Amino acid sequence: MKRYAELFETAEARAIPLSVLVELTHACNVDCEHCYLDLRSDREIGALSTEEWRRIFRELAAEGCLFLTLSGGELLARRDWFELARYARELHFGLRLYTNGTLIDETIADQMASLAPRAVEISLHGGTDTTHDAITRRRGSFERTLRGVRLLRARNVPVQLKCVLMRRNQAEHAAVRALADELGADLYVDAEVTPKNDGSREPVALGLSVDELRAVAADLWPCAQARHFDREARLADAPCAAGRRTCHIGPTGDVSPCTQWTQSVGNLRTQSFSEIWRGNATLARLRRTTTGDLTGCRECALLEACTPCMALSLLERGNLDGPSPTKCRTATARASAYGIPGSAAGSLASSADLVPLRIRR
Amino acid sequence: MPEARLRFRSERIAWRRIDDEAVVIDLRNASAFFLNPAAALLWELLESGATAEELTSALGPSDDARSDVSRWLGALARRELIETVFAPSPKVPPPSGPYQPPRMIEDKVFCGSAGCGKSIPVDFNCQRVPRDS
Repeated sequence: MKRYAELFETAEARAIPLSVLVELTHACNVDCEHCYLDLRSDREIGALSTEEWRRIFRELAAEGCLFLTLSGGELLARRDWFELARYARELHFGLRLYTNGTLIDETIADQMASLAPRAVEISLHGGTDTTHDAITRRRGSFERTLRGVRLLRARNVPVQLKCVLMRRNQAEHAAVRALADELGADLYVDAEVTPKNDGSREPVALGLSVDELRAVAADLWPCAQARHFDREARLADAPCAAGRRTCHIGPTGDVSPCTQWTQSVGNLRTQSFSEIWRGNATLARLRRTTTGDLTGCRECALLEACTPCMALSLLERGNLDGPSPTKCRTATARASAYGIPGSAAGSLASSADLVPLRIRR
Repeated sequence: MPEARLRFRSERIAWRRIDDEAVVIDLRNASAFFLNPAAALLWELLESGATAEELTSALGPSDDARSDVSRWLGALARRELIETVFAPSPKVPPPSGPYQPPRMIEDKVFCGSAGCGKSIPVDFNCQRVPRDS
């Protein structure tokens, strides 16, 4: 290997789980209105123990995982988060930490700095306390989040703020960007509000319409420009890296190809990671799937502006073949930014067209 | 016997073996280093600590081994990826196969998801790596 991109190509070709996201907990101290999780305490769901996670981390390292994201729920709601994060660093993982930042104090900031994370990713839902706290449904969360960011930046910890633009905060995207600049943090702006993992479409109504997405396109796709697009190559290529070089592990040990994928392909309490990763039929099928196999997406004129998501199709339509209305809405707006006319087939789908799935992990 | 040996600075790096090669990420500046099989072998010896002599012996007999190892260690030292510690002698495996000089290629860790330059890193998500990266 000679180039960074080659690392990912090699991992996909060889089915090496290079990047894994683990949700250590589904407990959280805020209650964001657009959250896709069914938040519950560790005791209630029977979350994995410290020792079980340590064993899983060793198995991931042995399979070639290099990039490990520790997430929740709220990561810091788990008392052993630092013990587990430190152990992961002993195993030479590069870490990303997802948190809402409200629980970060001097001690935790020191602990995070000692882990040399690639980044601590923190959700910022608005440029004012009124908007942010309305979304988290916790008064004071905005100020506590900002305090956490400042404590990390004071220690030179890279912070990536994440903002999901929705109807409630769309007018504040410039203020969020200004705040990120002031804090010395990177900002990632997204606008995809997805159904909850239990199938409920309640959060989707909070998201932006296609016209509203177009209005904030410059923030969402700052580098959008006409590019050469090889449609045949795209159709022959994999739709995404899920199950090829990435996967997701939930707090009770359920493994799935990605975070949006609501169906477990195995549980780490009864099987080793290697058994699941190497032996599961769904994962094997995923690794053979090309964009051209997605019957609901392959004819779409806006494929160039889309990142088809089988997991969202599964969640919203009940099959892997697409199209996912969430992705169609995004692609239609993104196509505008690229100067491509038209709408993706599923962008105007009414809720009556969608499969009311109730999937439990 | 514990004596002065070189060890990689684990607090600064993430790394993994991929087959007989290895990839090392410098977490301070997002550089990636790709190690050929000989360098990957030496890198593993640097986890617990090794002298230049011990590293040279791991590569097998060659007139160039001493200078090749010295040059490679110099590259690591310039990037502040190794330090001197007091450590016991490592278990050096006997050389296998013909001599190969240790080589390390540096590349930058990049961000940007497929088709757009947003600052979301590809190394932690499921987006495809853009072909023109």
